[in-house]
Amino acid sequence: MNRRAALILAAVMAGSAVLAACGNSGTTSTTGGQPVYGGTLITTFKDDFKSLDPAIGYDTDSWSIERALYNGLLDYKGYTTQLVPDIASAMPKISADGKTYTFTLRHDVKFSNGRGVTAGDFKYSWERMLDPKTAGPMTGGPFWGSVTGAQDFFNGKTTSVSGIKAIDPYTLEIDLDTPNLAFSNILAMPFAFVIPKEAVDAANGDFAHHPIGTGAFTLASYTPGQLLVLKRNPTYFGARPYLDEVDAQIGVSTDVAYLRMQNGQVDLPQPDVSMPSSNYIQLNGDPRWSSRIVRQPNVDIWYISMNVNMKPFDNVKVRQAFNLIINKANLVKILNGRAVINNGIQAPPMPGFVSGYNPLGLDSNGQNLTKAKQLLQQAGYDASHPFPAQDFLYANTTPDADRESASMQQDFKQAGITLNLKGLAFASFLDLVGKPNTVALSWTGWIQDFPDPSDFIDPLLTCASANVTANGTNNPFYCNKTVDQLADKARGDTNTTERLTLYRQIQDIVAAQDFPEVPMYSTVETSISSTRTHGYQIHPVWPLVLTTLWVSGAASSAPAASASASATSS
Amino acid sequence: MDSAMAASRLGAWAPVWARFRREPLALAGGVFLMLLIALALFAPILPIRDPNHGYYELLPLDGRPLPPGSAFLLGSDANGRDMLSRIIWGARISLFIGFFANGLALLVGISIGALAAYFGRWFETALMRLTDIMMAFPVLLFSIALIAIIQRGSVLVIVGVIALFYWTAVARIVRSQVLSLKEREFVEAARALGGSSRHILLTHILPHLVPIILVYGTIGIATTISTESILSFLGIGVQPPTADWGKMVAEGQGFMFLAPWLVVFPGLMILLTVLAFNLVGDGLRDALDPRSQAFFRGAMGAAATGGALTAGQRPGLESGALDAPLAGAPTPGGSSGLQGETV
Repeated sequence: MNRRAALILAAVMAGSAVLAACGNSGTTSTTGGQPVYGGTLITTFKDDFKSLDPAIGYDTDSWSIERALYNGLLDYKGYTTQLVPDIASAMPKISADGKTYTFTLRHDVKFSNGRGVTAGDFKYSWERMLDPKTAGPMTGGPFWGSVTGAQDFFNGKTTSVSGIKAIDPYTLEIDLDTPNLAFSNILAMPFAFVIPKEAVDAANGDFAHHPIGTGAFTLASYTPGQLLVLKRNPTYFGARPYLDEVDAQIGVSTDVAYLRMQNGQVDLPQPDVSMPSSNYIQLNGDPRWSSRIVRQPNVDIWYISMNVNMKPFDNVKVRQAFNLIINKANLVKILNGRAVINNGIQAPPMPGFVSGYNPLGLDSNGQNLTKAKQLLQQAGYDASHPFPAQDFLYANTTPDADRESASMQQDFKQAGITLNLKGLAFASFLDLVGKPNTVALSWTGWIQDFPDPSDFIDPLLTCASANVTANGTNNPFYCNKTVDQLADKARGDTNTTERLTLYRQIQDIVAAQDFPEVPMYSTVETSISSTRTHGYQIHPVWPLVLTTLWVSGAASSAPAASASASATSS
Repeated sequence: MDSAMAASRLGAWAPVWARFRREPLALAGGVFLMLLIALALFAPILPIRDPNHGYYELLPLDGRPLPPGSAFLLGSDANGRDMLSRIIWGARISLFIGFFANGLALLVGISIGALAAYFGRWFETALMRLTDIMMAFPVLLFSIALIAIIQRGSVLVIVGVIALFYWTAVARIVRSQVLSLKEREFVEAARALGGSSRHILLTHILPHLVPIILVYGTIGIATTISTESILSFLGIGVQPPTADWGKMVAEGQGFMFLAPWLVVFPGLMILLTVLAFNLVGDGLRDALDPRSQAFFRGAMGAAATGGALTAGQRPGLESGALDAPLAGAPTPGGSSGLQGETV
């Protein structure tokens, strides 16, 4: 899903061995004592949520809340990436050809409005999610394009997806045209969460602010830009969560949030973002807090997107030159070393990741300025035809994003290119970069939705993901038929060696031939929680898991108006 | 005649200076500002580092800012940029905006205030109600909204935004002065001799406003600079990587405990500069105000040294109306101007 601009900690430099070691020693949870039921957890977000509608929100902020409100057929066990049944009563029966998935549903699952969940609700939710009228990220066909009948549905030839079948109230069948080894994982994503039609109709087009689901929590109140309150759902079918209430204060900058955490007024400051470096250095050097820091290598990649449909990035030489300019070592330093340089399109722990990948022969900083200037000259830019100044969009969730952008601005200046930095609120950023022909140059991050290399191809680099009207995730709007063919072939290939070879071929086309993006680094996430918070861990997929957290004692009284008071300074 | 007039006008300022230099605080403020202006003017040729270049190679592996006295005299920020250079270059932005925004505000304020008072009637009503409306706007909210619409902050936008709001106080003060001045005998005489409105305003009335303009202009710069810092702190001022004091404080706030120099130095510069302009403004007011202690001290000093001091050579000082509007509390019904008539 879309990753916020923020960051990260790896002990040292490149090399997956180091990262693996770090993961083993660093992935600790802050547990202690017997869990206690009850209490309110306070968390903060700098920006408002893009959308709590599971068909639309596809970013770490939105997923933080969606995960608490809704459920799908499958979920991940604890803090692992192992799939387990959730609303499904068992793992699906998958036909031998890998094209038919049959699920049996639990009978005891209720929406928070009291109605029981049936297979028809899934059919409704998914068709709504795929409906071009919903204008969600999936409507162009990434992940779901191979479901039988999906293409006809996208094109408006049918009003229903034939491959999604409610056989009886508790049996659901999904047919695929071509097998997809990651399809079970796709069914665990929020896009496949179930929602009730009557609530969508009642919300009158604004389901994002009036969400109803089956989740462990329900939305008690939502004042956009100020405060979102979740209350425990008494009819939740799963294990009772420890917390009774979660208050998400909106509009709190990370600087303020971390101060409040140290005062005991906030429990989880901006939980979906790695600690900003100023806070990390300070708290890591403070014995009272250093033991509370949790670390985990993220399966993520941070990159610059160049919109291939917009000038001057329709010229491949320009895009290649941009790949030679950024001093990635400086960015790693700004992140206190909590990152490793990455020149490819897959993240370190992912199958298919090539360690030390460097097809352009970049130096140890990730640069080759001489070659970059040559390429820009070949593209027709020189002293008398200077490269046009570019707006450089990013999400300014933490001060680190501003500092990284300033560092890149300096690199580009050395290549004779002026960047105008435009830091935006995360939701505004996503709105802009998700629209075709709107943003030429931006930088962002992608963190895995599930542990399969297709997650770093299908939503980011395929023609289907570029074929959206809004809310897209293929920010360069890159579309190459060869890449699509390779991705189609790899998706259902059960021969692992062959499959990973196909993904490496895609990487070579993207990162050594077409250059729609500039890969920069992958991060190690660090997070922290208040002293009264217990059970906090970093999940490999979910940006925030509330069901296993518990709090002891009461939070220091934070003024109720504090969230809104600080909104102007963020 | 022209040169004789000029000489006598210049001569009129000698006693003001004599009084001003007896104010130690005002003098200190003046010296500070001179130094600051010199630094700002000569920043491009001073032997200092590029303020926008990040020396990442000098930062430690964990990227923490370097403390003062290491490779950088005043330390580095978290991007490895030289704090000393950034503070000097930041002075250029602050002073530029201070002088130009305030100059623009004065120009607009004097024009509107003088025209309103001179022509009176519906014209005055319209202009002064416009002034009231502008004064009622919440400046910060309006600036934020405006810059959100314009999309990109820049020095000139900030100058415009600040000038848009800060002309109102000047307009009110000038109006009350002109209301009094236009009834004076010398204006009547000029009118009787067939002088045009333009001639009377520019030649006879404007010179009498100079002291007010000086005092209010100086204190206004202080307000302007602090407003500019606030706007930059909120991220709607100059564009990165341009060095600016308010922006430096904003960038440094996360490092407040770790690297206090990131916040302390630029914060101190804002404080000292605003203070200096206020002290100089206060000193000027005292030096120009016949009723203040400084006036008498200065007057006697000037008399002792043979300085000529007649009412006619001290434009604008006759009425004693200076202090009332400057104190920010105009007396009811604009009576300060009328009082001037009776003196």
